[in-house]
Amino acid sequence: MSLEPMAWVAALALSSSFVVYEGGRRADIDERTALAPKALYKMIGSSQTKLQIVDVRPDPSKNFEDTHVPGALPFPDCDLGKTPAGAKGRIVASIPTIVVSAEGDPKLFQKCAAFFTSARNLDGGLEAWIDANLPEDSGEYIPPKPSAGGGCL
Amino acid sequence: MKKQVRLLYVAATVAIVVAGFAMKSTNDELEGKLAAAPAVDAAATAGSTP
Repeated sequence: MSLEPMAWVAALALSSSFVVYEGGRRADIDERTALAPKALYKMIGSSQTKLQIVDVRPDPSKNFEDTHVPGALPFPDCDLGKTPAGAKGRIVASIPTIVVSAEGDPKLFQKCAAFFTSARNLDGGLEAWIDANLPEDSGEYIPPKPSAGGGCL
Repeated sequence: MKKQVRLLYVAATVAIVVAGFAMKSTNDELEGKLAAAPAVDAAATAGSTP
């Protein structure tokens, strides 16, 4: 029996593991890199991307209700104790998450990143989102009705 | 082993290796930028200190 096919399979497996390793490295880099507002806008527009956006600015009755990224969930200071009751059950740690603070505070992001499996910071926070003239929403958070399907984007 | 099958293995291996090195190059570039960013921030902070 010839060993050549096995050698080629081994070569393919080895080169594939190299690609997988680099893919993992890229995912790690992505987590450490803040996301530009326009890139987030594109992600929201893509129905293939499942993600949740959390607005971590304090005092949601003032900040969140005044303005927020469309579809965002209020999660003040990344503290479930401060989160409005309607949003509390909708925040899922395993869904890829975008953290929106007032100005993209890296320390607050670090705190929030510990809560989620995969999280990225919005570069410049909500201020940069507004400066980029991207759509905003206002009003208190109203959880979707059960018949309306999932709450993710 | 048939010549065509061998060619297929070679092409697949080369394509995967090339893709891997392209990803490695991009990742190295991004990591370089990430590593440089704190240094730039530190320099800017030092420069702005009275």
